[in-house]
Amino acid sequence: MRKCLDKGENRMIELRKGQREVAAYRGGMLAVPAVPGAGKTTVLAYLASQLIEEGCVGQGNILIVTYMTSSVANFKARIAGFLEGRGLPKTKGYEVRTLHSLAINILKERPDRIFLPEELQVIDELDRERIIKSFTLAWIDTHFAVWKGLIKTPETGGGYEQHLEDWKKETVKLVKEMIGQFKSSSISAKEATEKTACLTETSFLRWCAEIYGQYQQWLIQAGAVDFEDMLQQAAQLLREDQELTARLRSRWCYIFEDEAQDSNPLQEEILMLLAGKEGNLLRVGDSNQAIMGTFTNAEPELFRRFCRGTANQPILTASRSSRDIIDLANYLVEWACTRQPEISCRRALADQRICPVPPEDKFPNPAPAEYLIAAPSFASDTEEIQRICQHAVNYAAANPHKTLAILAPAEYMLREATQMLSGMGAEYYELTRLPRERQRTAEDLAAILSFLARPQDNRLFIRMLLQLLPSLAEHEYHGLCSWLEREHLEEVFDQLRLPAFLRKFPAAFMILPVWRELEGILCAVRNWLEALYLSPDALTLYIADQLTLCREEREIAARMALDMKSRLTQNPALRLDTLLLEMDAVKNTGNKFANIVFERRGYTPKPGVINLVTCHKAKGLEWDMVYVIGTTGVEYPTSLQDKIRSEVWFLHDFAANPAALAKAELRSLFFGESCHDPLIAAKTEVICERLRLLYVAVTRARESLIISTHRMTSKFNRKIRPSAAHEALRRHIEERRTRR
Amino acid sequence: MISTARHVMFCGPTGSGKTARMLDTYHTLLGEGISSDFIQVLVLNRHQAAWFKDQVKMNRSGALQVNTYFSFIQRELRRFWHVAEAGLDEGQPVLEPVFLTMETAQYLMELCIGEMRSQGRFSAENFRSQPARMALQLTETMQIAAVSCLDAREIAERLQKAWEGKGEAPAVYDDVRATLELYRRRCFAGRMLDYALSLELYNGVLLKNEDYQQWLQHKIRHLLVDDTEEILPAAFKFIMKVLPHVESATFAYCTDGGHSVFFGAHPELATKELMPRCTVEKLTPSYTSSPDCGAWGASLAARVKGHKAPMIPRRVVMHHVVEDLRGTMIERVGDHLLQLLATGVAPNEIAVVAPFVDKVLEHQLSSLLGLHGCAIAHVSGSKRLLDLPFAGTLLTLLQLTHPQWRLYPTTGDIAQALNVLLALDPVRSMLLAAYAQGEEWGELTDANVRARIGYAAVQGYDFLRRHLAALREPAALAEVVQKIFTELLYPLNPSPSNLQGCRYLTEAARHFQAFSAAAALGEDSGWHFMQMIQRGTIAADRLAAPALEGGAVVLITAYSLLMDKGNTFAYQYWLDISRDAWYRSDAKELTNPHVLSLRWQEGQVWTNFLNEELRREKAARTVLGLSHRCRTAIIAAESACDSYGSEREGELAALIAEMSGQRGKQDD
Repeated sequence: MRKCLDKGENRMIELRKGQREVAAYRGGMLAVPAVPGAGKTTVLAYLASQLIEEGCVGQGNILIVTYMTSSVANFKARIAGFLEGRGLPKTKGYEVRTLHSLAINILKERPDRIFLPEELQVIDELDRERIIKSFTLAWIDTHFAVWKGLIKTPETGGGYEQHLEDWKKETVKLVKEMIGQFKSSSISAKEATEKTACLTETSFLRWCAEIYGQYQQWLIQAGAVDFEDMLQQAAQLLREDQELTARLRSRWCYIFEDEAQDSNPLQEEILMLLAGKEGNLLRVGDSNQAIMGTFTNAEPELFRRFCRGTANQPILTASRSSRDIIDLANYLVEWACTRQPEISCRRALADQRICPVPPEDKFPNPAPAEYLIAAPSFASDTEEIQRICQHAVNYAAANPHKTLAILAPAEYMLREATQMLSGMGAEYYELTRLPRERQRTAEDLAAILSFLARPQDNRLFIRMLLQLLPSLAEHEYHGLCSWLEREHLEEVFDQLRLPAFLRKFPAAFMILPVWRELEGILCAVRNWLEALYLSPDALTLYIADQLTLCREEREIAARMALDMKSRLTQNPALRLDTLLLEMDAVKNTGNKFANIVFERRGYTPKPGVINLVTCHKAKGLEWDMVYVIGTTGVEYPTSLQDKIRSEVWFLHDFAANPAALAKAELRSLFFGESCHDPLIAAKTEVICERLRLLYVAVTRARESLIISTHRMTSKFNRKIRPSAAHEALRRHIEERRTRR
Repeated sequence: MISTARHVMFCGPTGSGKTARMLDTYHTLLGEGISSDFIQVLVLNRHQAAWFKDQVKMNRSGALQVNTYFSFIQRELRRFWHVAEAGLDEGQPVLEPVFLTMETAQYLMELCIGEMRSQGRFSAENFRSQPARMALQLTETMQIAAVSCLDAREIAERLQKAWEGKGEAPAVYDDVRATLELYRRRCFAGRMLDYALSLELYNGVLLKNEDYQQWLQHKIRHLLVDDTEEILPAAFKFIMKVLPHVESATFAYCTDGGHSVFFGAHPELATKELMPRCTVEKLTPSYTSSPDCGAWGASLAARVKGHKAPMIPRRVVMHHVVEDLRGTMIERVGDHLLQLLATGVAPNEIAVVAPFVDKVLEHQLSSLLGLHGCAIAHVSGSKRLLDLPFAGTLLTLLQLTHPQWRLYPTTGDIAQALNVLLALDPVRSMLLAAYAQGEEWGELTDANVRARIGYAAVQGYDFLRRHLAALREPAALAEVVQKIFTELLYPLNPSPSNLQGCRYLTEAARHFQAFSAAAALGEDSGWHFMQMIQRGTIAADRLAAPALEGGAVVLITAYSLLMDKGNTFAYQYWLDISRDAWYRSDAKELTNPHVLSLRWQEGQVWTNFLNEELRREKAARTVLGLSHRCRTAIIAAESACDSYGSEREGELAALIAEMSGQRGKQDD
């Protein structure tokens, strides 16, 4: 069947070339390299519904593994839509999991087998970072001479102290990354420490192994695991318990992996073990969109290798972008493969060209009457941001029904753009890792609980009020705030116990516009003070009841309460005031959970609103108009002579890329793999990955695209070269324009 | 006409009237002039013991010998301690043993674990349990072994041999062996008996003593045993010992019970060994469930076990809530509940059943129903002692009167205490607490603080200071706790729950004192007492919530509902059915009740297949048991995402949806 009613999207879906072949899949191993906009979610959802309808899954389920919570909700909705269109139950026959969920599911099948408690204490990324930081700084203290000896700046030189601080931060980053590498390579802490003991005292790998040992010991004592531990233990369980693996294979008789280019060795091993040698594993990915390798354990080569060794069914047609955008993206591929100045980097992008859909397709490529494709260069970063933001504002005003986004290579540029747009009074939305709106609940609750823990503290009182009533910060309320900062709080709350008409607050404040709302908050606070006899988790829920929270926000509050309960279980002597010391961690739990629950809503860009997003975060999304800013030689290096971010310039040259050196040493010591020049190899990888990042950014656009760069940084007054890739695209755009 | 033939067994499903028949038997025996002193009744738990005693109508005085098996053992050991103690080699003889509570047993076990860890044990890379959890598992392990008549010294070996992996069994089992040996040694040396050691001593020494056997024969002339489907092998051994000598024996067996298999229960002993020795009277009608509910439950149970089963009328599952987020699921359940109540259904006819009842569930439902004037009773819940203001205050004052312990209450603790003792508002309490801590409870000379807290509070503070100084005089722990309670807290007229909390603490302190001496803990017993509470010994700080009578919707875990044999409901809400918790395995990292049970065969290995089979059997028993406690309808509820953000999809939800042919829709 080529057509199917997608009840979720309320339209008939007609599969295209490439999609039809994938939809014919009925078993075995299959690699599906897919270009951006190829509709892989649609085709996987379609295929799942097809297999379910045909009874191919029997008593089992199709397991779809994806990497983001937002994708889970999206997949479920699409499959449910197709199933409903076929008259089948919407939720039967499939399961969609993030890798995190899958690992937990596997471990919960037989935790006793590997001596784990069934209620795993999983520390999140922020806690992990905090703990590693603490051990790393302690290690630095005891190895100070060796550690600081790598800094090339003279001790008497200007900026030395700053370099010491920066080197500390870089060391923490290094240790974090290498612990991840150890774990994803299934190297235990004991093994790591033993094998690296013979290395020199300046060996980064040895440093990391020592701290790894301490970190693991802490986890054991705390009865906790981190995400990599979970993956490792899930893989171990599957390796050791053949019966369990067989049972899970019956349960998950088909496995679809999305975003396979971001897989790491452990993830791949888990999926292979679940599928089995004769199993049904379909892996969808795009090697040209492998952009996670330099800061996660993702190894793009794994999917490439899978593609080489297995049956392939590529999907090369895409209807997302206009033909001009497609042409530009394809040109970038061609340039990267054939004309990239650094020959060793010509493998950055696979020579995989996007094809537009046939003209008769029901959902053709956009063909706007008016559109813009340009690659301007600006004198400075400030000018670039100012001009781009202005253009975006004008575009939004002129095209209120179009969606648009500004894509930046790093968050610092987004912050500057945010400030610029705020100054312009523009409507924008930050699609950051943690948008401000999502942080609100956790911030509110943390501020309230912090005050309740020390209700005599005026400073915490004001902080809480400013959190709950941001307008209090306005200049006209300065006097009111000063009064609240000085006033004896017990007297304020004494007044609040009286009926409203008997309260004796300064008359000048009571006529302020904000007073009514403020009084309401103060009355609520008074109620919360009366409830201080409750345990912290119960108190959190009680407070949440009285805040006006949406559905997701109530879940966040519940999650924070459960986190507090967990801390209380670990340490029953914890009271609200001692919990204050852990409030940041509780707030972080809330914020992390906020992302999970809000992402389940999915993301639909609002027309006329300027979206601000990093290129990394933009993957999988699309807008009518896209601005790709900051395409400089620093952000998108193309030559080995270019400076790259992972290089620590104030270290001696031989140590300039600690992570690269440590990884090379790891591969050599543990796997016998040699690398001629790890610094060059690492730089090559970065160049390749940044090119792919640019490719991702370009392919987000449907109709219009502006790729901009600048020639000087305002902050340091330093000249910068535009990226060679930008130059290539600019020339191509101009040539095309001339030809027309 | 009640039969008093020699051995009788009443056999039937839940609600068929077995316990009622047993009660009738008891009354018949009394009516025939037999003294209650010679009638021994064994029941499942102390609630049932209390219920049974309440139901008995006696026209003359006499002690009611109604016990759980464990309380019976304890009573006998106390009575015949001189005989039992002769079986102990180590330690000094004492007049009577110290019976450890669950808290003190776990605390002692934690101390042993701490010693073992300091020697490098339990340090394997994968091993991630906390000492409190380990202590709970090891004490449970010993209990299961004891009730299964397995020598405690064989526990580690049994677990080791059952381990499925290749190569040598993990070192953790050696660590378990060493820890249990240390624990047993310390207990016997100090003449301390926990549940497991009491059983060991009773069955291994006392029951084998001929004089004692004679005494038993004289004393127990009529035996009544309820809930034999939950029978423990050790209890069975005892029954078989006395059975030949009793004039009559009456048993009850529930055909859909067996819910404490994870605790060592062995229903087969009742069916294969007791039943053939009895006249079996089958009681069939179930007064606790409708035929539809019962049949539906049986069908679901069969499917859970992977068997084919007939479809059952849809009308049993009245509604199936499916939501994305758990909070929304609870809201929808609350809405449906309110609609049900609006139709005239009495609140106490409705049970909300979940595999676990967390604070979020309890709070959300309570708030939702509370807005409409309805109450919810969390029957299986318990309150943290530290959450009770008076109990918390007592502990704070205890620490303040013992500065040598170097356990310092937080400013928040002191503020709460001041709030309770001086009726100060939270802000002033905190102000004063900060001052008191900073000045080490010195005189209140700061004029600003004096002005802010007010004259009455200043006086109160002075009084408290003097009282605390007086309480610092050396005294035994229990005495100090009693003094603090009677002199400072009781006069404030605490609420019933606060009173209960303080009484519990007082009792706990008294017991701990005895335990501390027996265990030769070395330091001030009070310090250890505070450690026990502050280090998270699981049971140390819990207080059972009193069951509410009538007028409230019941919130309960599945296990609690099933173990409360008398309780049935017209409607049941089954929550979180997407959670794997409904198919929970009993095997844990340090214990496995099935491996330690009587049915475990030599040479058997604990495989995934076995684990899965037993998980399904347990889940099947649970759903069958619950449906037999339901008279009208079941409402199922699931969420795709749990409160921690993990995806949840479980087989049970799919089976229920399949059987009811609906999901998210109202039934016709």
